[in-house]
Amino acid sequence: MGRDSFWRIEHEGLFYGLAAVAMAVFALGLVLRVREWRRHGVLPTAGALLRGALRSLSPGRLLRGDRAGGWMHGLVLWGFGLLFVGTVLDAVDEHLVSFLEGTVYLVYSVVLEVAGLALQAGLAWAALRRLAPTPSRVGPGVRDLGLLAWLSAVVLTGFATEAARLAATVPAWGGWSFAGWALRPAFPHGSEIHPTLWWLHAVLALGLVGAFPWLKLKHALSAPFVLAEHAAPARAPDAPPALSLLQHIQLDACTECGRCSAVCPPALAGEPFDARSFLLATAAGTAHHPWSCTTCGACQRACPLDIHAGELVAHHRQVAVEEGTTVPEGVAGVLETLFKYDNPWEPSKKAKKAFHRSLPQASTDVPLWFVGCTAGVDTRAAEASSAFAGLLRASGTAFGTLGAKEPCCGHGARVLGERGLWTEQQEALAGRLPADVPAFSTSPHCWTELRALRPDAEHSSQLLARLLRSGALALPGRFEATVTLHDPCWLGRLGGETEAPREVLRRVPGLRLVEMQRHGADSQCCGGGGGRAWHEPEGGRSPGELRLQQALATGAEIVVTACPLCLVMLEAARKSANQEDRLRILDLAEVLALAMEVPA
Amino acid sequence: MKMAVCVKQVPEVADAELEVRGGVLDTDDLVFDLNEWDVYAVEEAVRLKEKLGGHVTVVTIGDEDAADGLYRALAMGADAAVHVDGGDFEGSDARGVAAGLAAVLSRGSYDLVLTGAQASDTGWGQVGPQLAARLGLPWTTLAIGIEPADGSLVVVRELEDNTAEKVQLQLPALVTVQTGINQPRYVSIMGIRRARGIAVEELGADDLGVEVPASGIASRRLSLPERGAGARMLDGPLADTARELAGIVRDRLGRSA
Repeated sequence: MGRDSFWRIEHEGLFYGLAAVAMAVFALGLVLRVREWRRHGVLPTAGALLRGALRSLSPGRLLRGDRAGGWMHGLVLWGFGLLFVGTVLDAVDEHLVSFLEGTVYLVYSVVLEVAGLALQAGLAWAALRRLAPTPSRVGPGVRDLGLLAWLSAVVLTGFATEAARLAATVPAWGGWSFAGWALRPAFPHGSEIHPTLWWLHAVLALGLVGAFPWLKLKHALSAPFVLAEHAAPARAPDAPPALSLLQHIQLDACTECGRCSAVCPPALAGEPFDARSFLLATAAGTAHHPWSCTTCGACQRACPLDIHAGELVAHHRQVAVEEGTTVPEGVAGVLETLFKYDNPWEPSKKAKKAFHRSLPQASTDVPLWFVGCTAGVDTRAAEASSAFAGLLRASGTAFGTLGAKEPCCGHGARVLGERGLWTEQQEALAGRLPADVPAFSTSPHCWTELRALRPDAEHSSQLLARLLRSGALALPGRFEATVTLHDPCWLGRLGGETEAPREVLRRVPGLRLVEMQRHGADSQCCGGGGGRAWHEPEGGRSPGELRLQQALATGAEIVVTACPLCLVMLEAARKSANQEDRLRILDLAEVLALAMEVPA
Repeated sequence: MKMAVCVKQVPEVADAELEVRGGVLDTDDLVFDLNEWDVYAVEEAVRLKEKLGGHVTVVTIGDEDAADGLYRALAMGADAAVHVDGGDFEGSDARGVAAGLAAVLSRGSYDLVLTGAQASDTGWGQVGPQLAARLGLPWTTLAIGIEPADGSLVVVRELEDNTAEKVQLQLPALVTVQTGINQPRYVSIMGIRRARGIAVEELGADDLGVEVPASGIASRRLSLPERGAGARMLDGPLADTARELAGIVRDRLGRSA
């Protein structure tokens, strides 16, 4: 058993010549890519690359955000991979050690038939997705359909060649190559047509190998680099903003699948911005207007290659801020207000001073409550802060605040791309925090900045969970209500804390929690991040209203959140969407405060 | 084109808990920044430099904090800065300020001098024209558009009631700039830090050889306006509040039902 790889093929030498050329062109393409990346940093080690390659094959990544797409790609990837391995084994068998005979050959035949059919099925599925009449994330582009056609041509000529050979030679074991065997009748003059088909298949396949690094298929080469571990190079804080090595490779690795845009808040709200378009524009050097992003991080979570389109937006904001002439008036106003009046909300220190007047002063003996700008300045958010203060007192928890001297944590400067201002605010904060005291905040944004200085800083949801657990806060009565929890992006997805607010709600007797479809680390942004609570970008709509629709779908009467910005944004959305009669928005602390008032 | 821009550091009054002490505004707790009109003037000068090439010098008369305004202008794209000690000009009126600025500007030769149309604290609107007179320059005010032509300037001026006037000036000239002539660029903290590396020329009245004329006006009284009672909120069903509002308007206008 076995087969003659070059049955009735003359000019074997020509084939090997072509193969050598194809591989040389492939190598050239790969080298050019790698050299380009090398200009931006140190490449990963071989070991890290191998780990990256293995990660890129994980089914979890393929299925992330699009199960059907994941299966389709799996068929193509593994079909192609097996056929490639099969070709290599054939070469080994031909020139090194002859092993493709007997049972081994039969197994080999069957596996490759299955692989070829799987690959073709995957390619057909991919084409259908692009041509389907319903709108999808992937369109019927000529480049993409052309590539699918080319790949299909390789597969189909492969089967045709095999069928022609089987029609002519009719070996006893031919049935094991069941697909080619079934196609036999179509090739009555198999032996005449076989060389033509063979060369056609060879040219198409070798052409694909050579062109690989220039086609979209190059994402297979970039993936191991993207997913390898990268040492973050140290960068001076005043260094001009530049894309990192990883970001350069990511721009090469994006397959335009659009899973990021499918979860991008401005895109969902119908604004002229989406993660995928921004990434592709960055790659083409035409990116502009990076002011719609809410820095929610959903794009990275959805990407099978962990590409963070939001970080590209951050880069562009930094570039724009340093250059100055493309910063929108609204953004400039927010940054100037933050700088001069220590809060991004209004050109006044009065509101913050007034809020802190009723609170105890910080000292080295008590934990520090970092109130923050939104929680202290916005009227609605201040109600939630007062409820929280009430809970602290009821539980006997001593605390102090920085009072009128509380600086802005600088998070607003960070997300708007003003690194110099962010650093200054961080230094001011570091200078005023009392040494060696635990710190906490109700704002996940301030909490993130606090954690950079005090890694064990708590978010209020964690603190409240702790107080309930220990019994310091007791809820004697039943608070009957159906609620749903809106996870703040910077607490859940970006902060890694989705359990604490749920634990708090579970410990309220009578409360029923129903989850929205997108919850936890998959939570959908309220639209207040990225500076959008203070300035509406060009073409801005309301991501908050979309989120409330999801909340309404759960049947809950109350939307609970654990972030002052989310509270403000959702309340605004509730008004603009006319949902005031159907929903209440409450902060976690307000829910507990209400629960505490219920008699036993 | 060689340009000079005259700027002034002024207090921001947005946080409005103003106090008058000893006949002057208590500025201890106030935030200071470049006069808004002057920011537009600096931006206009930098844009003209970017379009035509040239050099921009910013000049101010003020105390040590006035240097912050100079650094902001340098970070916006000005090339050089001159800081005249404000102590020598304490209590000066527009004539005194113009004398000082004229002394600085006559040390160089400028094709175009720009100033803001007025300062937000004193509001005289005179320094630009007085400076032009001292330098013997043709001048115009309230520019909302500046277009260079051969050896001259075409300036669009903002007048009342949405009208505009177009004038042509031979260079060298002085133009005072109205807000809204452009969109001033944002200056980042890192940009300002870099600007602080540029050396600022420090001068006093003596260095300039200028005799500061005594002020021709003296302030007799400075007071803050009385606060009104604030807004009255109308509550209740829409039909009732509408009726109430109509009644209030009728009373105020003195008209009968």
